[in-house]
Amino acid sequence: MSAVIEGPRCPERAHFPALGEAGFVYLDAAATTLVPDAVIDVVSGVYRRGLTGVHRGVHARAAEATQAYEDARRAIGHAVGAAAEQVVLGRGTTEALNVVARGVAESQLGPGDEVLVSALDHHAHLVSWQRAAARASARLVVAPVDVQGVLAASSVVARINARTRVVALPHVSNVTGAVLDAHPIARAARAHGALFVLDGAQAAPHLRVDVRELGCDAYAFGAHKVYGPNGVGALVASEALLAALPPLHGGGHMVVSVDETSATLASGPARHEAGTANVEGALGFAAGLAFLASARARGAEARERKLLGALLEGLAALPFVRVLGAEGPRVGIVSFGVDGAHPHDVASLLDGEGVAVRAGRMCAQPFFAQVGVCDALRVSLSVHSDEADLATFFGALERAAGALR
Amino acid sequence: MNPALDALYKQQVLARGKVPQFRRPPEPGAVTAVGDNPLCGDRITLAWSPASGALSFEGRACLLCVASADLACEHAAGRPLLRAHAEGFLAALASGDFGALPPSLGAFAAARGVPVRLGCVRLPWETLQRVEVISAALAAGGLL
Repeated sequence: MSAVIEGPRCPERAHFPALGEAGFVYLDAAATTLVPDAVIDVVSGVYRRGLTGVHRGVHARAAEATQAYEDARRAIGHAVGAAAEQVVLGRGTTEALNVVARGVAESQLGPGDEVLVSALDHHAHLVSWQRAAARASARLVVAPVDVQGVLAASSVVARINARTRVVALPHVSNVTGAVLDAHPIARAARAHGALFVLDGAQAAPHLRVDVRELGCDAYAFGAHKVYGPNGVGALVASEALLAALPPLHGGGHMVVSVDETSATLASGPARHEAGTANVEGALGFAAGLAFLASARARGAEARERKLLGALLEGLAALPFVRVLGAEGPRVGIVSFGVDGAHPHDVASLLDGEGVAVRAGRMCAQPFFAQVGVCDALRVSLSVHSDEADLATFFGALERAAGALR
Repeated sequence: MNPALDALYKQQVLARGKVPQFRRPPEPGAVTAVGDNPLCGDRITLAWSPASGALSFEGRACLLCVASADLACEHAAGRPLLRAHAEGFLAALASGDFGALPPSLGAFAAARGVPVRLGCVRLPWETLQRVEVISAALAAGGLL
């Protein structure tokens, strides 16, 4: 592969113990990012310190845990331009989207209303709104992608009308890496009184997100794609919306008082945070975001842009490769097919050379159906990716294609 | 990094996967069953002809699944007990003991070292089991 030249290794690699194994090339960050030492230390520190009983205990460690947890909430909100009072911590992006969808279905949707989604949505978003629309007997409207897999803002805006109650879209596609042109959609949604909900799972690792600037009503993202631990994510929404949504779960902490037959629900984020808080998750989430911010200060964004260009250029030079999506604003996520070879076979042979990529339909089956492609391979970049990773990837890809085609 | 991958994608499996011999439309009157792999969306249809005993398959699947389907069709064709034959292969895949099976099927023993791809190899044989179940149901209803 001549399009990519090996250079010095990315200095960010030193932060990731998982990269210590020689020959391991991790290009599956869009599924889950590797975790740096700083985050591992924070998470293990919670156990070592014995931080328990967030918002429960009266002992010193519980007070310390509660303070740390709320500090983490504030940092997570700050990372996307929101106040702590706007941040609900839960199990991940999927749960955050379900909190909104179920809550809206129970409180704000009815027969005749429309929920506007897109063929580009991840199943986590799409299925949540399918269920919400069905629950409220509302109509689900799907904005299509074009033949190249592009979701045009104009196509979305054209489908927003007086019946539209919700517009639910991905900020960045988990398949093509395309960045949504959110502003005209936000304006149209606001003009018609519709909620604008963004799935930010793939945007948060690559873009400097500011929910105020985006103009959305709710934004969801997870820790495990921003160098944090699994099983924790955030729903960011206005305090008014959080107060209006019925909670998804019932349990401890989300109530003010309970008698035998009824409960008075808490206000603020607590209303949506039933059960024991995932304190190590929240602290790890905040630590992941802090690491990402520091990596950006060390030039991670410029490196990603350069690598993305090299990746696209290298793929374009291979006659047997078909890249999904089109030119336009995009982040370091690229999906493609190999003519005459099944993605799972290619991915297995790449794995045999130590290169980890994703293969399949990326939880986006309607997208693949619309562009007429069965499935694909996906390469996704992270702050530690470098030219040597791409050189190894391209060499392995050419050998796999040679064996399988 | 994983020697089982090299063993699995060796020439015999590659050849069968690239140029399968039994991938064709079902014979008229054939009993068919569909197998899905939800992990990757692969889908194959296995067909058994009660008249000739011939097996064939169609569908879109990875190379491992296609090779496995092709060998399933070759080795199960004409056998009266498709399900028992399939169970024999699936048991060998679980235990690693392929001694009682035709040597060509031993190529899939390496799949035991690649657990995420076991489902690809298993799918045709699990579908073969359903062909017999469907056939039996049709026969019981006087439809076969």
